[in-house]
This record gives sequence, C-alpha cells and structure tokens, in this order.
Amino acid sequence: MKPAPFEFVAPTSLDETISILRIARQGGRRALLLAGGQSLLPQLKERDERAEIIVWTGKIKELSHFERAHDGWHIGASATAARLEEIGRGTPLASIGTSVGPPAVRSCATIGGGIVSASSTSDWLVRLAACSARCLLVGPQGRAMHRAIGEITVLPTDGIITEIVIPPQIDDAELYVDRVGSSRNAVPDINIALLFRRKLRRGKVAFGTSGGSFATFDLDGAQLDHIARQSASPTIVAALRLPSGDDAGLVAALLGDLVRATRDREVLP
Amino acid sequence: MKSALVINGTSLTVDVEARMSLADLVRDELGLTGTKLGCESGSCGSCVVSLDGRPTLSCLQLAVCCEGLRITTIEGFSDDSLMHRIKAAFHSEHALQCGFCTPGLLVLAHALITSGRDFDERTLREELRGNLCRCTGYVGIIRAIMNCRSAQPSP
Repeated sequence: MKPAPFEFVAPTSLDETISILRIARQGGRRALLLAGGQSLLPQLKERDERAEIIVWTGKIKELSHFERAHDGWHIGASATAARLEEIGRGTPLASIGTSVGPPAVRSCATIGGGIVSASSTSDWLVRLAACSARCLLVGPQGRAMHRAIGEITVLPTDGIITEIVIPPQIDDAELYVDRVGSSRNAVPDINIALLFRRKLRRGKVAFGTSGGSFATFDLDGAQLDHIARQSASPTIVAALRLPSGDDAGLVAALLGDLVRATRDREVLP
Repeated sequence: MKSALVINGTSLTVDVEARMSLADLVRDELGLTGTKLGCESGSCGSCVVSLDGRPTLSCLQLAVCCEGLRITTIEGFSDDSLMHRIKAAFHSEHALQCGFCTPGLLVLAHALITSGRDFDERTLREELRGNLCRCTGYVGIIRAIMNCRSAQPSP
C-alpha cells in the first residue's frame, strides 16, 4: 500500500516553506505539509487524501525549539510527544505527551501536526486546551497571529503553526484525563481533561465529543466540591452548559470521576 | 531520490522513491525481512524498528525522512546482550506462537527497558496497546518484559 506519487521537498526555513506553499497554490498544485506523518500517511496510503507536493517540516529550523520562558513553555511545532514526555518528566507536560498514543506513535507524532489534524476528541487538543495553551500561526504574508487551542477550526491558506505556548501554571498543576470509546486505539466518543491547581483549588476543564462539541470552562472550589458530590445532576449539567443530549450525562459523570480522583490523591501517601 | 542512511550500523546511499516507506525499503530493497508488515497503517505495531533508539512505526515513516538517523531493525540487535535476554524471556514465558508480531514487540520492549522510565505491569499493558498479538493473549509477553526489566540495572 503506497501513496500516489508526489514531489517531495524539505525546506529548511519558514520563509522557504511559505514560498513553496504559495507558488504551489498559484500553480494550481495541491501541496500538503508533512510533520510526523502519523495522521497524513495513512490518509495518503488509503487515498483519502492526495498531494502533488509533500512539504516535509522536519528540517525547518524555526520549528524545533523547546524553551521555558517567563510566560510558559514555548514548544516548536515539530516537537514530538516523546520529547514532551522526556523534557517534562514527572509534570503534566509529560502526561500530555504520554497520552497521545502508544510509544511508537509518540516517537513521531508532533504537537503541531496533532493540532492541525485534530478532531474535537483528539488527545492533543483536549489536553492542550485544558492547559490554556495557545499557538502561533504564520500566514502567507509572514503575518503571525496567536490563537487559543480549540479556536482553530480552519488554518489560514498557506499558513503554518510554528509554536505552541503552554502557560506557566502547568508547572504546579495536575492533569487528569479520561476518554470513552470502543477501544484504546480508536478515536474516542468523548475525551475530557481537567487541569487541577491544588493550591488555588481551581480547575480548568476541556472536553470534546464525537458529535463535534468542544468546550472549555473554569471551575472554582465550590463548583469542584459540588461536582465531587453529585457529578451528573441536572443542575450541574445546566450550570456548566454541557452539550445537550445523551453526551451531557456522560461528560458530567466523567468530570465527576476526574474531580474525585483529585480528592483520592490527597489521601494517598 | 538519493538518501544517505545508517542502517544497523552500516552507512549506505540508496535510491528511493519519495513515497517509499522505511518498512518497504528495509524489506524489499535491503532484504531485512525480520521487520514485518501487517496493517500498513500504523495500527498493529508489527513493523516497529528503532530510530535513534526510539520505537517507530516503519510503515508510517518515509525512507527519505530518515537521513541522519540511526535505523536499527531486529537484525541489527544480533549482538545486543539485552535483546538476547528479552528473546530468552519470550521463549521461556511462551510469549510467542506464530511469531509475526514478535520482532516489533522485541524492538519495543528493548526501547521501553532502555528508556530508564519506571513502569509497572499496568503501565506496560497501556504501552503495548499499539502492538497487536492475536495468539498469546499478552500474559506471557508482559511477564517476559517485566522479568527483563527487573533484571536490568538502573540507569
């Protein structure tokens, strides 16, 4: 099973990449960015996606940084899940990486590619949104713009994600995640993450459903207490504006489990 | 396209089509058929090889993207003492039957043990979810890897 033939280019700078994408578009040729390939290559093989030009991002120097600054972690779009795991060992940063898939996927799956190819129930999307991450996009004229993770539905034409910024609160927080689906490897029906800041007794939740719902919301201590006591109550579902229909009860129940897990940790040695 | 690669410690320049996967290169062009091809879409883990010490699905890796990386297939571990111990443990714990998934599992097990990450049986089950075995039911595989991990000196 091979993809249809394509021209392969490996630019080394952002300017060069944007120029290749622009020239391809002007010439009516379909060019696609290839990062880790864990989503795109199966699509190309199955002929669900087609490309006349594949632009590999692996050599673009502006996408490979991984730095801790005053406003949080600045992670180049080419960083793999394995790299997050390695650099953030013992922190929620690592659990973002670990949760993305099995080890052989994590070695190649990139944070930028994960966002571009994300569905509303993607592990990358839900976990990064719970961490209030935002990403930097560079458009065809080289104009940079910030977007919150979860707000990106359509990338600008010829645009490219260059970095993801995760705010510093992740350093003293705990990340709790859960997903419901037919199997561990399948796309989940519901994916949910809670970033819990124990000292402040505050939480941020992000969830996505296969029906296309995606939302984030903040929880204060009183709300967390309430959820821990009766997660699936209609009052909470209404108060949190969870999606209507059957998913609402399930999202609320999963959220209840996550909040209770934060309590469980308190009593563990 | 000409690509300069290092496979099992040997540097070579190969002429490959841009669309050729690493799995097709090692099997069809280089005759390294220890790497198996199952689903060809990243779901079964039969094709796992090591790229710079990390387990990688060779069916979802273009050969042209591997320049400058150390590619190690199951054949490249023939002198590796840890791999010998893992193989022996697979044998003694009955961790294989038809053997099709075994090369991918061995390369993955080697990477997990050498990563220095602490893992228990529950974590190992999670980590094995990308490698399908339709014969054994995983019990022997898990026991074999846990035995090798326990015997491995701390990094």
